[in-house]
Amino acid sequence: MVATAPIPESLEPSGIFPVTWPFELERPSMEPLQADAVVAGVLSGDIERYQELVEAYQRDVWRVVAGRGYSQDTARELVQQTFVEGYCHLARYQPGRDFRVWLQGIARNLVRKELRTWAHRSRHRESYRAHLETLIQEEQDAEGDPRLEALATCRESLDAESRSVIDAFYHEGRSLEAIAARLGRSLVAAKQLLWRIRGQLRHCVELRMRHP
Amino acid sequence: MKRCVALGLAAADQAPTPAEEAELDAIASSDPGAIREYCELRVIGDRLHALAPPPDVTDAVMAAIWALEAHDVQREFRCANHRDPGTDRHLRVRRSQSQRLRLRRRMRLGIWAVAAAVCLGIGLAWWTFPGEGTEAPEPLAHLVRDGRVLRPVAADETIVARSGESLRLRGEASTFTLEPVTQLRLSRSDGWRLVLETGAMEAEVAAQDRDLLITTPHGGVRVLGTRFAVACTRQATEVRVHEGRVRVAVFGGDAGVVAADGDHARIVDGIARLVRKDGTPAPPRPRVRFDFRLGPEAGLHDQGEYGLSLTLAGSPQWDAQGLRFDGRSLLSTPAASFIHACKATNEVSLVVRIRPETASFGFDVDKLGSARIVGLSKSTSARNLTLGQGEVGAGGHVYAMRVRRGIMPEGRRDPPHLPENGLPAYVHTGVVLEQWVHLAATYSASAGYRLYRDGTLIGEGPAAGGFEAWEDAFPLHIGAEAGGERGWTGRIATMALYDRALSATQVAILVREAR
Repeated sequence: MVATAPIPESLEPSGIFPVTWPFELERPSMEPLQADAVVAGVLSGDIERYQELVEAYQRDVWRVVAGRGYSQDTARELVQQTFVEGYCHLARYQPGRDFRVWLQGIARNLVRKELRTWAHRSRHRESYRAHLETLIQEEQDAEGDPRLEALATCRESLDAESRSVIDAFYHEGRSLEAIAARLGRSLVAAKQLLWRIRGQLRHCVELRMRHP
Repeated sequence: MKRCVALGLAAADQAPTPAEEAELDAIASSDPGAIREYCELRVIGDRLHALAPPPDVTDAVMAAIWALEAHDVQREFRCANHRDPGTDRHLRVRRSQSQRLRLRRRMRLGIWAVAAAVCLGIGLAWWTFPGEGTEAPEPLAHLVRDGRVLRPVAADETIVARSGESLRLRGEASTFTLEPVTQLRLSRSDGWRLVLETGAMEAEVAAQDRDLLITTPHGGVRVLGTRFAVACTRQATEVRVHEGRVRVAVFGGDAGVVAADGDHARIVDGIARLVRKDGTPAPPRPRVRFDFRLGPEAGLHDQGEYGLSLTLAGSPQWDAQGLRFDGRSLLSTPAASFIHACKATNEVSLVVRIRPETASFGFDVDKLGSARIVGLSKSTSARNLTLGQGEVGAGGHVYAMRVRRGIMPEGRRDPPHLPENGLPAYVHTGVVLEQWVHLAATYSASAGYRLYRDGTLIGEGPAAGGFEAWEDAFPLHIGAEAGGERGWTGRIATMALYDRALSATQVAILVREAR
């Protein structure tokens, strides 16, 4: 089917799509000692201070939780859930450890639970879940996600058109029809382009993982 | 492999149809290599989502935590059992099958025990007080779940709410949706009174003649027809207003703060204050506010709560900094609602940002009175309130505030004791010429008069009664007396009126906001 849907007005005419996706991978703004002080404050009754931890670490939790097969709404819920669980078990956090790592541990456990629910419906989802479990275990061992870092770098190396297509689809949530219309291509061609770009990214990530 | 790629596109990029799902399942069973290829490509696409900026969940998390904290039970128990359908579907109570069976057995036993006790009680009551047990007092309210009445609630009975329960007041269209484990008592004398011991509730209160008062260990919330939420923890009482207005105050303290649509108020450490989302103090909300920097269209329309519209007489000059009065111009509008509100509180505050000019002078406060900056008056001899600028004797530049307060003793009508004209006036030096100043004048029947310039107290006077004699019909006027006399010369950027006496802290917040 060739896309004939009207192009949303918000799509800018220059280029294909505006490249607005911030790919910065900055570390959390809170130092571990600072986080320990906030945790101590919350445990002594200053509950409002937990907000500082949420603001500082939601990006780190998001990166563990997002893009695991289930929907973006579910991912958002899991981020919230991670912080609520973290609050409930805050007394178990040992000062001196990295609060980010502790929180990401909670997030990974929640992701695993959610994946089991998500995957049990079909065979191919179960295969995908097993694939993701391996990756999550590797991330946990490395206390981070080197693939995600590599993916961000690889995305930077794409040409402008490919990058804008990736941004439009994965960040801005535009439909394939809108992307096809903007590119002046058919829907099938847009799909294949997206597939091809992902292939490039995969190749790039594998290379970077082998030769960091 | 080609088929797998096509299906992978469908599954990874758009919602696959059931047929496509089935085909992918078939591939997963028959061709492990192909499905691995699919997984590796799909994970690249999925993980791209993780690089996008995360949604801000701070508010949702803090709301869930406050709801948890509202329950006065041990933390682990709260967290394990809390259920908030909006945010955390995973916090559901999960009990094993054996636990469930044990619980069911205990419940059955409990029900039998309660039934036996109730029968015994009724029998004893019948035997002891024959004929008197039939006239039960009429309940004050009903406990309701899903629109179904669970049971009546009597006066001074303590309720411990369960999930999904709400309280409906008798004869009122007011409903209070209670968080689980909320503890509440109810009474009625001159009006409704709800005593919130601990917990949280969402309130939808119908408009009514008498006040509804919600008290907590920290203070109280006085309500007249509104929608709001109140939560009481060990440390603080939190109030979030969705619609309408409530007054939040500490027992035995000052008049507290008025929270209106979208406001968040908190009582902590014996002080009630409006706060922003980030917890910092918010400026108080004016009842009437004009911003003359918006020009002759929007500048004449009230941004406060009454939607007043000023009528312009004369030709003052407008510019980006506001409005310049030339001594011959006047803005006026009826302001009965505001006057009525002040009579209810016996408090008032007038806040202006002005730039007085030398040409304003020439009015001797002792003889002609002051040039009128803002007032609520009928004429030069009848007023509720006026802030003016003038001179005392030879060259002393002053601000003069006249407030009609108290009741004059019979027979004493000689100037300068004319209560209907707001005399004697509060007169203070401190006029700064040709400079923008933030001026806040406050009067309270209990605390008296205070005048702040740029947040600094420059004058105060004693209390001398309330606003019993204020006239609702006196209009609000700016730049001159109601009839156009006593014209003021200077620039005005903003003007706001409050039906309460602002504290020094609140004035300081307003000064900071104005900068």
